[in-house]
Amino acid sequence: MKQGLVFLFLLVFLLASVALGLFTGGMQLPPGEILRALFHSGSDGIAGTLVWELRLPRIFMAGIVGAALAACGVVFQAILRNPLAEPYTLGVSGGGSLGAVIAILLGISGFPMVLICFAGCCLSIGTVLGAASLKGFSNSMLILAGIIMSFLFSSVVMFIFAVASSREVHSSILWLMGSFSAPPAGSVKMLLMILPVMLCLPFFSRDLNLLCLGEDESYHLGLDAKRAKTYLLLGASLITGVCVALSGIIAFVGLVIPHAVRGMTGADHHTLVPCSMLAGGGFLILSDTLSQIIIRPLELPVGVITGMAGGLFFVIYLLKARPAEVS
Amino acid sequence: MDLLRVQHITSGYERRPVIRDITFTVPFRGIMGIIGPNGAGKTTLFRTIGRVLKPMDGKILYRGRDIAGIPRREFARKVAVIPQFRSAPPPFTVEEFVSLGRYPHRGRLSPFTREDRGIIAENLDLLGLKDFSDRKVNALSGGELQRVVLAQGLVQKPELLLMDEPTAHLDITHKIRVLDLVGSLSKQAGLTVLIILHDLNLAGAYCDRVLIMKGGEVHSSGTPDSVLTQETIEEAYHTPVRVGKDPLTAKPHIYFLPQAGTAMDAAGE
Repeated sequence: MKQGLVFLFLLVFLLASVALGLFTGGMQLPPGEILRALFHSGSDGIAGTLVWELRLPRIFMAGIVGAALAACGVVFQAILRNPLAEPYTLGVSGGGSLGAVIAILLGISGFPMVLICFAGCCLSIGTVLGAASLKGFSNSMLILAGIIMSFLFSSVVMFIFAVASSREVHSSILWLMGSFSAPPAGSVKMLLMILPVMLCLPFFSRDLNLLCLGEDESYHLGLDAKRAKTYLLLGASLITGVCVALSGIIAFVGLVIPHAVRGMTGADHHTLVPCSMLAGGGFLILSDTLSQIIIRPLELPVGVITGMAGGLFFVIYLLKARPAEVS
Repeated sequence: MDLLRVQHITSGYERRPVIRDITFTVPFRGIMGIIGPNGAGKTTLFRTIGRVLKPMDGKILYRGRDIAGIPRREFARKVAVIPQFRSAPPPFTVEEFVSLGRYPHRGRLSPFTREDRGIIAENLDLLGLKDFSDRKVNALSGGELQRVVLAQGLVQKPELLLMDEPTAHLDITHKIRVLDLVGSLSKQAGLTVLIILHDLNLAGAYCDRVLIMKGGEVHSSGTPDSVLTQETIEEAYHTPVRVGKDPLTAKPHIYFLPQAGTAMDAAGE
């Protein structure tokens, strides 16, 4: 009952964020015109282009990426049984940023850059999961391998920064902070491809409920923990990889949203996963809208907003939480 | 036919065996205690029977079937494992946590039935957890958490219950309560219990059979009267003891002998 109310509340939050993103932004238009453009999809003119080619794709991307990062955060926290786990813990972001920086250096942009970046993500996923599989997928091995790969990739990135031109470094850093401002053609299609995978995650709520108790306990309750861990980690890492490739490294969504939602719904993943998706999507749409209007007509990288909001929330959460919940 | 037959099991970690050539049988019903010094391989044995560890050699038969060939969910409907006291669990409510024990009985997508709800409520009641059902498990005391974990195992409706030191962190009230409950379940509901205990007197008081492990092997096994003797205990634990009879129950009672130099150590036991 209470969990149903939380779901409804978050649904309203998501819809409100969508509405806000639709009616405000870098360019200001009267709400009437936006409404007209929305319900007459064929209409030309500035409002039509703005709504159908800029704002709606952007809202869609921010929503899906936010939902995906939050859901993956839940998955990683459950499997690694670590409250500090997030989608980037296994080093996906390191590989992704190396791919992106190499693409920028080679002067590759648009969708090919997305693909190179995704290749980087897959490289780090493969290395980390491969290394961990040698040690029976133990959590400490996964986390250590992820951290080491992140360091390795970021030192290569820093090496490239040291020798690259300042213009390239600047555009790389902007990319690293995450943004939805210029999604290359094909992005929406790529997101549509991970959408089914993401929508499958709620069906693994039982596996997550058991895995978050521990590996032995999962076996005792009839779940092949090693197999479940493998396919969930692989799925969540690939989803994260697509998000990183499309929008850069958006900080904190995958860490903070799961904690915030868990505070409202409790630990049962049957409600935690879908509620985190709603909250993550709404939060990222809201942050993206703020990033467009705070220093209008310029635009902030959305990662700056999520990092600040997320960091602030996390401090409050840590101060308020009882020790048992932080542990 | 016995409920469980452990045959020549060798098992351990990363190709290093901890237990070697373990063979014993667990008959239907009753409580069988496993005792032995630290590092004897008791928990490794449990993790092998509970199919967390794959044995390097030998096999385990459950009602004559090799457990390696039983689907995990089916196995979890027959055998429940209460692991050693764990660190802070995720913030499930007591009721949510206990109901995880019904998962082996329901498919991935089938919601809990009225039967499941009934079994959960019944066991919450049995363990005196009814008033706790909405509390978060990570905010419970050690004794409360132990009862919640036991309730989770009981809603699995197992035939065989493995308990790894369920009384380790409990005060005497809760120790006796948990063991009394387990004893009555084994007598009335026909549950078979395999239990690791450190307290030799509790083992003597509650177990129908006792198995002593030492250095990864079975040292001796049999009825408490035949196994809990001064000779075997001193041999297994390298600690001098005296064994008497409990005046009320006539079960073996072990007395420790604090010695001049080691009085503090012995008192710590």
